[in-house]
Amino acid sequence: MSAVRTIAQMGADLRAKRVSCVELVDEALGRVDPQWNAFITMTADEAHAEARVLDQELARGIDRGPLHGIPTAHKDLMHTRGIRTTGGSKIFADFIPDADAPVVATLKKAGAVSIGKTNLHEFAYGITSVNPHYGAVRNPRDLTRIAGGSSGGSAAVVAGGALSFATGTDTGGSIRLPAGYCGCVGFKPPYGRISTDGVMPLGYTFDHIGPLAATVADAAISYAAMANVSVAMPEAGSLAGIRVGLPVNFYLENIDVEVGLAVRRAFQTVAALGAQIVEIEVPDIDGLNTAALWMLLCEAASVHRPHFDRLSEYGEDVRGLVNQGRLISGMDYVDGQRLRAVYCEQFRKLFETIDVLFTPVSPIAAPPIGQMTVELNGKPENVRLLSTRFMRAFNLTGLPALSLPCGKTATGLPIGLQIAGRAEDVELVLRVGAAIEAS
Amino acid sequence: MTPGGFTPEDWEKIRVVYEPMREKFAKLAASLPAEARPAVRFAAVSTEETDAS
Repeated sequence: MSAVRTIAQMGADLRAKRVSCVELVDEALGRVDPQWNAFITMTADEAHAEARVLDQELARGIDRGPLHGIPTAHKDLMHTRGIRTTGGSKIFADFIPDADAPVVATLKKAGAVSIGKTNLHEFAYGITSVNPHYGAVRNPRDLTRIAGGSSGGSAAVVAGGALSFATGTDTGGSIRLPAGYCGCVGFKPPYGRISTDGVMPLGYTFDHIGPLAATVADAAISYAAMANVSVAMPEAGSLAGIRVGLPVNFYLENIDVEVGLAVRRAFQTVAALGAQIVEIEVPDIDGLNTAALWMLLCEAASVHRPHFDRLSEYGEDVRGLVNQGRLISGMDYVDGQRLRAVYCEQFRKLFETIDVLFTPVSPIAAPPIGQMTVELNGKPENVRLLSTRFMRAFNLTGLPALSLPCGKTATGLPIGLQIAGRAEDVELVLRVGAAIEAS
Repeated sequence: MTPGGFTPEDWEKIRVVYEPMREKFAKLAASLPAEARPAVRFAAVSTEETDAS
């Protein structure tokens, strides 16, 4: 498993005619290890055809920009014209959309070439990517362990070195967690920055679209294209004047010792670069998680209402979650949204005292496939609830959050750091991430 | 009759995770200040803001 070239490196090679778009596609396809089980559908023929057109364009002097000819893949939740889009489900196994989702169309227009649709947790409703219909995505760092989810296939192909970026969705951590478990970068932009049209929903007010990428710079380039915005390239360097929040409650409690050490090293790194470490008390995240999950259960039940007569065709875990959502009252949902307003205001005030907040992505490294509970500090914990404990706040508030590798366990499993910031500070979040990545 | 009309087997699987969360949520909802209004528009995010170029 060797590192993939970055988007900038591939772009430079293309423009210097050291490689062609078709060769980049072949290289990506050749790097995909079938053991990862990262794809539900591969589209090599379509990718070659698109790459040939892009090669002809470059030869004629037509350059679509930084993603021209760069191979990618789409989570199989995103509608792709003429290519089946399963959502990781049985009931959509033969669904062929007649139009691309806007984010797919935007990337295509920017010159990115999709080599296929990546495997995921069924309907993106879970964190393991152990899919009952298409098999488990395996972690490229350790094939016996989960890739995380729900964007597990996208994380595996990027962390495994086949692609510089792939698309993902994040409703409760589904970009950031697999990035953390597999050892790549994942970026959940602010809510609403990238259109969710044409993407199978999970929770309407929690769903975010974003990239999983090999580096922070690749995340920035692909995010800029997906959102159709300009983003300054994140450059490592001094962080003087940046206030980094060190949570004294919740986020560094009840975590694996190795995770805690790796995250604390990240604080030391940014302090050495001139950042000011500010100890802060975060809101009641345990309560926030309960409110967020309660609302998500309700929203997801609404999404799946048309298929209530086919729930027997769902995997047991997703069916259980959908059924729980059916029991929640409208009054509870409204109260959940009222709680959301309270938590959002608390986070707004918190970010008056700091510029970015560091937390672990997850209290643990990737658990083995099939393990539903793990023991943490002598107490059994549900893998799903434990894994998403630190991420859901940024789906509820809609604030941007970046996941990037910050160390490894003694057994070589990646450990992820989460950096969150204000909605208007995407570039700052990426810049701090680039500084840590370079150190 | 089980809540939601689930079979007793399905309800047992749902109940063990649903009931504790329902109780936890009920406590949170009871603590809501009267002036709290639903977050129909996120207070923390303005989608009108764009990244600086």
